[in-house]
Amino acid sequence: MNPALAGVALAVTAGAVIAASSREARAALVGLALVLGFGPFLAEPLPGAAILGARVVTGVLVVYLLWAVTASNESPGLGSRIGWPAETAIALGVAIAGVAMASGLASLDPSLPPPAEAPDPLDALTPAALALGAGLASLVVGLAPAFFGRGALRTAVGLLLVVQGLVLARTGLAGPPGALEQLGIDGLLLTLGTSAALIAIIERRSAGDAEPGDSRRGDDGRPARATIGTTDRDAAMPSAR
Amino acid sequence: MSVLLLAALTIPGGLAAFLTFGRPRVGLAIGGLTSILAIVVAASIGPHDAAPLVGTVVSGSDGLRTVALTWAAGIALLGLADVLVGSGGATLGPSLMGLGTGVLALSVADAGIGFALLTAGGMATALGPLAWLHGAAPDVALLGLRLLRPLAVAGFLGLAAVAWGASALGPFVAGDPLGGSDPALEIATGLGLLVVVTAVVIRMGAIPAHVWASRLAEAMPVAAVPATLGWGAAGFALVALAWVDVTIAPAAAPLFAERGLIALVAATSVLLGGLAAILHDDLEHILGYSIVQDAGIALLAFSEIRPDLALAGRDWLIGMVAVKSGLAAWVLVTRSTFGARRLSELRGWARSSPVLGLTFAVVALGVVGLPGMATFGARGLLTESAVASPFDLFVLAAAFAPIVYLGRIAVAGLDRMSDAVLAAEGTRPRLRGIRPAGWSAASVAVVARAVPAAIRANRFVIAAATALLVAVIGLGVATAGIAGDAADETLGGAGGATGATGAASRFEAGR
Repeated sequence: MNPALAGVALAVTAGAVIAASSREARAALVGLALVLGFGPFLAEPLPGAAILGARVVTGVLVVYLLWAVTASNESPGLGSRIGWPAETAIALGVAIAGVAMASGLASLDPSLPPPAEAPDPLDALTPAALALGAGLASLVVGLAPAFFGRGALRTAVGLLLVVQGLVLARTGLAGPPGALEQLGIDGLLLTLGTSAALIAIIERRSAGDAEPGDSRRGDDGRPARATIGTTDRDAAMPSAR
Repeated sequence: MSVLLLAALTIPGGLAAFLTFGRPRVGLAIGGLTSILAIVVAASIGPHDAAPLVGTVVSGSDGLRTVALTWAAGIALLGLADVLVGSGGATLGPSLMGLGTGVLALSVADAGIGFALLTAGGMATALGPLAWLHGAAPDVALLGLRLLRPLAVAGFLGLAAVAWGASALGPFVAGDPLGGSDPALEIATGLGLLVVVTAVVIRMGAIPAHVWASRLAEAMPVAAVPATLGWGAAGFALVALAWVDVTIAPAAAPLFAERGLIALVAATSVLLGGLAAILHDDLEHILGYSIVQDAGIALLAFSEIRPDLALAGRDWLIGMVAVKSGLAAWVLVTRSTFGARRLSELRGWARSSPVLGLTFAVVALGVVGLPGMATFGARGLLTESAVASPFDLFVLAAAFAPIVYLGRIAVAGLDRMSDAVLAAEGTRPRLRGIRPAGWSAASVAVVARAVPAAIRANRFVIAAATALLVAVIGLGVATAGIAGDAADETLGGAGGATGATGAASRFEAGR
């Protein structure tokens, strides 16, 4: 077992729990920063310095973007309904299951040496097992906020946890992605964070608007068409409509 | 090198156009210039166009040139129409970012990179225009979340399937070519196929994952529809086809249940998508559900894993996206010209505007098709091969639903003109009155100063001509197809699976 990698895996798992369960935007973003900042280090061999730097900087940038648009405002909908102890229990359970899965998978890979007769339990904590465990933990605790979160920030936190969890699980299952795929994942994280930040800005703009569900909403509850899809230019050129 | 140049041009250029759209002239100048340069660079992509990029080779092909050129031309022309009569060009920058990431994704032999880039590009294309929409903010924010989630889920499922394919559980390591069929591996292979097809169903907005596509079509500017639901989704499906070809096909598992389920979902999408397009009365929904129906036919390429069906699927995907770009351009210009979106309000549109009538005729020819056209043959082959007889005839008949829903639009166009059509400016050129002194008797400088007014006065006719050009390009691509180009050089990744080579070599090393 590599103690440094075990520490990184613990930090990623703890960050995922904090991000998914915190009711404060700043704390949730600190947790997300732990996941996105430390996640790229959970690989053996480590990617090159440039790729590693790009992954970490992207993570920090995504967190900063979300911080800039939400931290100074109230962010409704944050926090887990089941509370952080339950989230922690789920994350630890899934992480242990991930480590066990990785041990099983290692026995299937013909390129790896056969396991020792009486292995030390800590030997199971290989880099692949740590990545798979932390990745599955991050993925599972991110699912609820990603798909049932009400606000942009909670949805963004959930989706980013799922992406990073998937990448870590992929690292544990099939080895670290190639350099260009790492950059592609960087692009995905950045676009996801920027899109969520954009939606958060629109939400903030809505604070001055009327409540949803007013006359601008159609009878079926869908957005009223006449208001969406128009721009200032349309208003200036009424004949164009 | 051309592919890299295209990505290096369109991603930052599109971002700059998007960020500067608050100053419309600057944003449009950047976006317009980037679009024109993108067409030039896309035309230079070729089969010998290979360049190393951080451990991977980015390579071009004739098929990729067709895709990139049609995609870039569609963005430029739809962007021009959008600037003249639509949302003012809000879709131009995000669409360019989608083009850059999409072409780059199709040029690498790695499905993981492809899915990641196409998901990022899809998010940028779909959500970017939201920044400049001035609707009810809570509704726009809700719409944004409803678009973000399905796009993300599709990408996640694609990445998960690729991770499985390259893992010790995947067919490259677990599969033993000398050991006969392994039931566990067969089940895993079937699940892998279902996961990646589910990603494609969600990304393309096929039934039952069509709700987000319907919302996109009804609420976003029309110019954003082909960029998001068309080109980006087609690129995603192309990468998925390449992954299936490399990862699932060699396993040679029968996968009867999985293939039947995929054929059922595809047939449902063809039947219900066509029915919804027939029943709806507004142009945006007709456009949206017609794309849903096309997605159903494309899905048939996954239900039977054969090289000829994969090529037919590619032909269908690219041809139909090009044709539906023409339909989107026609919807955009018709809606803006007459200020109406319902067929009941658009009676007599073709009599009022012959240019739009001609555009519609070209689009209808491309959508319905004629024997000898690539998309016509692809549709027949896909339905015949993937659906059991005699149900294939029902699906094929349903695939010709465009005759009904486009026929309704045509009949409405030849009817007596409605009040909205009578009151519209129409698409006839207006050259008189822009400069009282006349065009020939003035200096060049004076004539140049009068050009903006002439463009403003003739914006509808210019937009209609632009839509006609998009429709003609779409008809050309639907006729010629790309399968012949792509037969020798696979589009969407020759390797097709992340880590496939590495996993295979690990397998060999372990033996």
